[in-house]
Amino acid sequence: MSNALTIARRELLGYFATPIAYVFLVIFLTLLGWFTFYWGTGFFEMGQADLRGFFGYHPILYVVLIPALTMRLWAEERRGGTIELLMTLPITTAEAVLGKFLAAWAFTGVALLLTLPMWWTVNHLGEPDNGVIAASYLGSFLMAGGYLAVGGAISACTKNQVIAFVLAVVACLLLLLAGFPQVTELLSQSPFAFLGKSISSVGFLTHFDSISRGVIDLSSLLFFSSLIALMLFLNKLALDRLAAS
Amino acid sequence: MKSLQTLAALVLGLVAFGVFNLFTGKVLGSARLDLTEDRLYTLSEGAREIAANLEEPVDLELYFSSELGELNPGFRALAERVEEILEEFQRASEGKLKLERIDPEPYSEAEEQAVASGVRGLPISPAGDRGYFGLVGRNAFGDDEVMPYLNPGDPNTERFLEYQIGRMLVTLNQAEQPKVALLSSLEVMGQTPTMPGQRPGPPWLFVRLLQQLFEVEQLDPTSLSAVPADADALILLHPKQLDEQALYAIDQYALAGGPVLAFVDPWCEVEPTPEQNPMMGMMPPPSDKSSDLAPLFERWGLRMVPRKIAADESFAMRFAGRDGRPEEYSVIPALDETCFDPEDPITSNLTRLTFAFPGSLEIVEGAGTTWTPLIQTSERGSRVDLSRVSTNIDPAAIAREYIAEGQQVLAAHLTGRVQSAFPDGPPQNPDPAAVAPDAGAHMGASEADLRCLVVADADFLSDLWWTDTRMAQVGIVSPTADNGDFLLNAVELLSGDSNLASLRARGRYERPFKRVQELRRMAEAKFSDKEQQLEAELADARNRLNELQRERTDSNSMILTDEQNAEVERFREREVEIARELRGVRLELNKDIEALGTRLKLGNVLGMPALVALFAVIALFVGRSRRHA
Repeated sequence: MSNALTIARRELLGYFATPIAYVFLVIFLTLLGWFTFYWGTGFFEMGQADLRGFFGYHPILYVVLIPALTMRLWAEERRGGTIELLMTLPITTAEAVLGKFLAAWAFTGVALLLTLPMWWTVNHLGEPDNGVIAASYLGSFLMAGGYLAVGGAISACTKNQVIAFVLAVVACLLLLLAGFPQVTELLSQSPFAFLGKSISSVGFLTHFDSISRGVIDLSSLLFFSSLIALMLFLNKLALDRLAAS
Repeated sequence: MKSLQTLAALVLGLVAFGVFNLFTGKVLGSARLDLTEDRLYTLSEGAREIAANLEEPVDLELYFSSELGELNPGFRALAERVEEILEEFQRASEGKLKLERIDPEPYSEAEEQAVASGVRGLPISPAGDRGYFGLVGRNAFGDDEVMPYLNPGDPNTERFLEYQIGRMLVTLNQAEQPKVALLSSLEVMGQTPTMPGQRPGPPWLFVRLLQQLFEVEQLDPTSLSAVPADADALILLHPKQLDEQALYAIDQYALAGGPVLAFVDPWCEVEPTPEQNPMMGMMPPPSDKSSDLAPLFERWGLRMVPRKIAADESFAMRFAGRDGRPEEYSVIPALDETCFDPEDPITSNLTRLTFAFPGSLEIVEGAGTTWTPLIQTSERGSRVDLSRVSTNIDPAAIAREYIAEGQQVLAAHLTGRVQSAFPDGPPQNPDPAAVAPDAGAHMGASEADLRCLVVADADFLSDLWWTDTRMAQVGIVSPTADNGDFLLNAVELLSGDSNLASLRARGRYERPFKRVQELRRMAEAKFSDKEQQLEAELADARNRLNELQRERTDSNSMILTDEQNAEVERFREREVEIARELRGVRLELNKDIEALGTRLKLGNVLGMPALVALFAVIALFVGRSRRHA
């Protein structure tokens, strides 16, 4: 476990040594800010002291930006051949996978932390329900973890970063949309109707919406945790297969 | 081989994931952490108490057509929420509450049952099929209560779900109709005949409405020694100059936790003036049409400002004046929902309440009670001296001299523990021969929380002010305001389980920007004086112009003198100037708010990213120089 943490720390510091991390942060924060204040009826014009609008943009931004983070997670190593180097170190594949994932997750955490001025702003303007906001941040963080795990697993399956990116975007989009009412309606008409409930329960949006009401269902927590576990497992499988060949 | 192994592991992983989540979904469905400020998603203490206090089993039938859920996600979301809350009630009821979910398919027995129980159907298909979303509760005595239609489009539905269900349970739990004691100096039960052979008049509408839901017992104010112990609520309508005995009776009732609904008034218009003796030939002195419970209110932390009428020029009602032109009476305000507490079940669904010469309530510090204003005027409320309405009311004069003083409270709740207004025990009974009241031991202080609602207007319940009385002679009375509903809601809430009173609306759906509102208020205060001044000048200028026009037609000449022409020009210019100044003032009002908005937007959208970029430059620069070193 400590190996995983060491790797995580090294990776995280590595992020900040290159412009990539900063570019990501600037884009994320600017886009989020712009959408919140200028898209449709802006936050200030709405006049309501809640961050529902703000958090509403997280899922879709993640779908586009997180694959950008994960695409280089493993694909680059595969292409550059550094995977073999990694394997010679006295660490298990699982530890490597976990380490990289934790670094990426921590980095998203930093991005979220940098949006705290938003929280200050809404408290300065009125009296929001801070419990709901705290829960929403938690939900956003968990959702990001889910997307990261999925993206990471995909990245381990290909050498090409672009493919890793596109596939990850598609996968994240599917996961996001699974809970949408239009999707469930469509499903109920199709022969796959019996899968209906299970598919919509996989939808990230359903879980995120529920958490951002301010209620953290244990089942939602376990959903995200188990999904991350599953994806990390698949990630490891992919790498093992690679090592074996 | 390896591929097979990998595939197997993959499938195993997916299956394990699926099973795990199905399992947690089923078993841990309800385990949750509610972080909301008002604990919105957790059943409140009062609701749990109501469920636990059920004496006989109650069956709940939740009718929800699945088609409605498929048609509109709003219905499905609300249905899930309703089910959630009902399950929580059930859990708190220790088995006394049974919940049945019924999907009434078209033409099924279930649909017949739904309709028979009073659930209202919505048409959902061109074929005329109907969808249902309602709740029916039945108790062991065969009574049933129904919520015929739950509307997801109304934001109040979800907020008051807990209250509605709680009230349903409380009503079903009652074995008999609750009793309301009514004490009034006015002839609310019907005017007594003044001529022999005349029939007594009909009771006021509010009495008839009460009688539909409660047993109403009228108390005689002149001989009251104790409020009947079985009265579930006491209504005091214009309690005028009550004697010590009566005040003591009310005091003790309130200390025992009996709900009191008091309508006092600085000027009750409908109080009959004493007959003028035609022999006297003199003007009778201005009568005192007030009522108050000052000795009790003092102890309860409240007072009605004496000799002042609360007015609101933003909601003034209009009546035709002597010359036929409508005049605005700010002392007869018809308030709308912006003046009511939106969280209180009593006022949450009301849209219009009319008041006639109401008083203004104030809190009195130090009584240890909690006061919650329920109805207030707008910010442009004012206190008009009683003398302006008690003799020869002149609405134009009142309007001219009107000074906005801020919100006036017309109705408020009082709760808490209080002291008796009779610390030394019951007052001496002036009639020694009278039988001593069977009122039980004297209470020096509250034995249960005070539950009191004070409204500063007795005219509020008079048919004259909230119904259209034109057809009254033939017995048709139609309400023009929600005053009757207010009374019913209040009595229901106060007389019901005391837990009901705590089930106010859950959650605030409005969280406005206080800072922006503050800015707006400050700006308005700063500029409203200027605005009033300018508007007065404008009115003057316009009047003068009109005068000049009249002069011209009066003197029958078609031509104005040069002088008059010049004056007209001057006034026209001034009019334009003033209009421009007014517009400028309006713009100023918004400037501060916009400035705030711009600052925040720039700060949030560009601020953080700029900081990050700066940090990036520093970090990378340092990194590069370190590497080169």
